[in-house]
Amino acid sequence: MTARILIVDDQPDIRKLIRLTLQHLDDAEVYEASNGGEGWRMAQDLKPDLMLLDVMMPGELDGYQVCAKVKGDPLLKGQTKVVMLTARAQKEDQEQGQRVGADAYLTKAFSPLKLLDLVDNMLGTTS
Amino acid sequence: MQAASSTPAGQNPLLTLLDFVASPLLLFNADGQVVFTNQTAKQMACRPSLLLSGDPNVRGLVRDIAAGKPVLHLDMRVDALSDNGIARLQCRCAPRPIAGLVAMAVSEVQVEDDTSVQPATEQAQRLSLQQIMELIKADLEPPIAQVLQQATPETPAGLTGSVRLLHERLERLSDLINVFGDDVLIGDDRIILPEMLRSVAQDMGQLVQEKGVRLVIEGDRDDLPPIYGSRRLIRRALHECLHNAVQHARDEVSSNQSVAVGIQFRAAGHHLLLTINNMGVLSAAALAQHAAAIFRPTPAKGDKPLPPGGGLRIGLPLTQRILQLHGGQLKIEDDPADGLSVKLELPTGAPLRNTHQLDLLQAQIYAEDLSKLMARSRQRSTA
Repeated sequence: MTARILIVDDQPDIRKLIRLTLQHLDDAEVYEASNGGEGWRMAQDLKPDLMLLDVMMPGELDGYQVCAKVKGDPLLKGQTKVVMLTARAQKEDQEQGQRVGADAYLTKAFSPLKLLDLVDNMLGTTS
Repeated sequence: MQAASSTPAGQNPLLTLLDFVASPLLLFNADGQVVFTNQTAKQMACRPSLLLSGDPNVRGLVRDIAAGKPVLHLDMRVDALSDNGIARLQCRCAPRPIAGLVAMAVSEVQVEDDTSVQPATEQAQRLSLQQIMELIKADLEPPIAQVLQQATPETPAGLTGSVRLLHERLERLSDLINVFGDDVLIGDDRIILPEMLRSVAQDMGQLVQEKGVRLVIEGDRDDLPPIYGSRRLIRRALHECLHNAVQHARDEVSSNQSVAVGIQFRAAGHHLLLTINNMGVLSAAALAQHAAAIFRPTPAKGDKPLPPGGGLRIGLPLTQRILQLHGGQLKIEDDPADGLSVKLELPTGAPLRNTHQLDLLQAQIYAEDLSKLMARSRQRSTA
């Protein structure tokens, strides 16, 4: 079954890099949002299997808030896994990620291989 | 919304990626010859690929990196004759080779006027404002701490209070220097403004009690968006606003009247608005005469009255500058109905970053993983 993955990051270069990485998945539809507000709206429409979510984004919602909304939404919380993908590497940042219900936390600069393994693991598609 | 697209057939994904990097990048072979120039580097008028290919210094550095030797200095300055005169290039190599090639980020620096070049010894002796302030703090803080530590219950409260005030003003001066000095660093702390304001108000509990002021907070919701910036400086701005509001809330008010300072939070688009106002404490006419009264410096007992329009008034420019550094602004409004209010407006979320800034390290990690990613794809397709 085709997995739906939503990348939410304000940096187009990082979105591009993640997209290039996800091309190595067997079967996935990849979508992009450039800020938290757009990401949240797209998540409600798409009901993705996985969100790769940056933390620091301009606008009305940052990554933690989007994650909290997803994990608090009855339609999404059982469906959508969330991976926080961020340059914020402090322990307290990771704890904040746990508090808002993130399923995993990956710091930038990240290894595409690790990302792919994590995505496989999250989607249950490990071969 | 965009669906997935694939890399064009036959195109090396690494080169596609490097072409996408906004910084000018070159790839060198182990002989120091340029074998790839990304789009941004191609657009540079001085044509760095021609200037750097075969340059003996570049070749030495590239050879060492390609051979896996540990290299201490990855940065290099190269002055070369281009079509437009002398080009001064700042180069930074990636510490490890990518598929046998060495990546180098290049930028052109402006040629300095010779008259502005100072002797090295003179440059070394110059200190920034922040450094000077740190020296002053290091000089003054120990005796201040000593006085406070030696205070006993018999020590007059006024004395310890004055020493604490002195320390507070030293910190304030330090913040002032920091925000108006050179190379101001803002940071990216995640700040929940209502939470921080509650903490500032708590620290100010004694003054609030002494002044008999009630703080009325509205709109303090959990889902207000965070702001990003310097925790210390934003706290300083909140402290300045709230302290002055509390300090002057009772001005021209008879002692038996109840006074309150109102604090309202409101999210407006991509901004968070915090309003602090003295509620019904002064007549509209009196407020009009003191448009910036909320920021008056507080004279201690026995001080000479400040001259009209005089005084330090540090709080106002300090707060304005802090908000400005965070992309926000400060407004002081005098409304006949609502009284004098200070409005702090701050952008929510992180500041907009350079939209094309995939750094060399991330590109390098991707390149290192690339062959394994390809192998993995091949393995899966044959399985």
